Amino acid sequence: MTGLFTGAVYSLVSIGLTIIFGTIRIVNFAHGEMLMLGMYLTFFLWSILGIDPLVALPIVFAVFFTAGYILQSTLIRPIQKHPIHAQMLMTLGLLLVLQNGAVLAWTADFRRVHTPYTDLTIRLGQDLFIDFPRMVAFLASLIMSLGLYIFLTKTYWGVAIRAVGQDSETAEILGVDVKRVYALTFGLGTACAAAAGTLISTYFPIYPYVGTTYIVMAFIVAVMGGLGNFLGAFLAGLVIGVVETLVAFGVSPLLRQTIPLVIFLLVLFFKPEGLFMIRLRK
Amino acid sequence: MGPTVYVVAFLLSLSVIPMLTESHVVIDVLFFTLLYAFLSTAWNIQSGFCGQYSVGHAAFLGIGAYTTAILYTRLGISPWLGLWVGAGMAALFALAIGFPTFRLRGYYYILATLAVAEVLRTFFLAWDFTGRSLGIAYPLTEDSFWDLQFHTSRAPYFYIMLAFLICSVLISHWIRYSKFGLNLLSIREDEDAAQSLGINPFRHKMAATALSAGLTGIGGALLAQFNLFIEPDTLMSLHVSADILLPSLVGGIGTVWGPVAGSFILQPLSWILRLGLGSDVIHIIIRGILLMVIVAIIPRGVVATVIERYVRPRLIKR
Repeated sequence: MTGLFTGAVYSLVSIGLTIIFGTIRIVNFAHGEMLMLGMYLTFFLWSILGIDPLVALPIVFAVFFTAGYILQSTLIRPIQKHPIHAQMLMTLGLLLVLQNGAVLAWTADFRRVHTPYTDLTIRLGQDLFIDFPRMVAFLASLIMSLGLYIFLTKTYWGVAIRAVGQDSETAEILGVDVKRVYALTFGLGTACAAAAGTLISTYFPIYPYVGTTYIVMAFIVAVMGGLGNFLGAFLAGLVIGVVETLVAFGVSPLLRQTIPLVIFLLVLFFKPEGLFMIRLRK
Repeated sequence: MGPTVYVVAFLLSLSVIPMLTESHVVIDVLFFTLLYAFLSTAWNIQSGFCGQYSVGHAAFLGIGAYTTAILYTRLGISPWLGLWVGAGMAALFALAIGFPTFRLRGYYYILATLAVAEVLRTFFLAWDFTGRSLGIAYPLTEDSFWDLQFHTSRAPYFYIMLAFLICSVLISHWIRYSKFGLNLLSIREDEDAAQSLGINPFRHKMAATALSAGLTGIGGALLAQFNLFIEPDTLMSLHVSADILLPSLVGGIGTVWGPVAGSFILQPLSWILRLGLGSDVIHIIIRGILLMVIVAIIPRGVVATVIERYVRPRLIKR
């Protein structure tokens, strides 16, 4: 169960990564830092204003959607036509600045958000307990993923995002404001990561390097699901979460991150297009 | 030989510096400048010449360092031998990673290098054999060439590093202008066209990454000998990989002299900032900003752009 819960959060982070890749064709190394900043914003909303993380969720989402929108327009747009390595180095530079900026501003200390339900567990059976915060994170992740799916399939901007992802030139000819779609997508992806940060902040320590832990998993999940594939990322996130937890409990906690990597390399080798070939179609 | 002659001559001329000053700070900063020039030259062989961008070279650095350190501290094997074993291990590791990933293009290799370096770091943090987060500390000996430890004067480190750097520059030059190197460049420019001309892209990529990783492993071994202490976080974090690729980027990707020139700009600057500001993170932030600015304005590298714009036209006029 814990695996499924963790997996749903991985899904949310990876969906953000994968829609950015699918549409803008850029691998955002700083994606994990958005999650980290989302956690810090949640922490400060809670510690200074006393806002519960769950109430803070829409605030964080809105703030980071705007931040992502601006970030894309200022930093990413000028380099979009540059070769792969230039784009990669741009987001890598952003990662270094944000991560170490966080160390500078808030030190490398661990922080925690304490809510009345942080230590709450629900008993389901004889030996079956569920962490309440994890369950909330799971449910919220599912709802947000579903919401995103509906947005991408049913609304004008959602369809525009997918159209640009498939063929940006044709989309532009057909009257889609491609520049705005790019900024919108980046904002959306960024907001997903930050929202995931908010959700895990109720049970996960907050520190400047937390992004790195999640970004590696997010990459693995996104590639396994097929880069740019929404449903693939969602399912792969759940799978990786379960595998990771099974390894941690069944084999050894030390190999938690190693086994998913082995799976990742096997997927790259045998099925580079991703495990889940269900395409997002209307 | 072209510009390589000037680079080598410049590096040789540096060898007088330890005779002029005894200052440990100067020698140490110079050591790191040479080390990162060396590492970036290694990175450039794979990423600059062959176009297979790696953001996980810290993994190879770590393997070289850990192999040398473990062989020395547990079995008493001289670092001079351990260094080559470390290089071999790093090269083998690179081949193992390259095997599944080089059949793919573009992002997949980049992502794999990042993931592999991170997992190796977390693995070393958890593994008893590598000393977990405590790392491995060397027992201190007196100054000894065989043990590769120098305390009274840091100059021998400098000279050893200089010798390795000059070798790597010559290797890089040889590759760049050999048929092998031209094949690498053609793969970078257009893999399909290269293949249609009878070049096997997979084999060339494997050769380039093995060579690149092996050299990086040597760099790791030398770094371990210099610090006499190794630990996963400072050796294998993502920002170390960034440090390795930055000099090439600043100097000029895909050139022989670019990594050296870049390192001589970045490292002294970084150390001045670090010592001057007394902070362990500000210089990383500044480097991140530098990275973004360079990529946005002059993606071909500072030195390459300056030469292209100002030096070459003047030479042609004459």
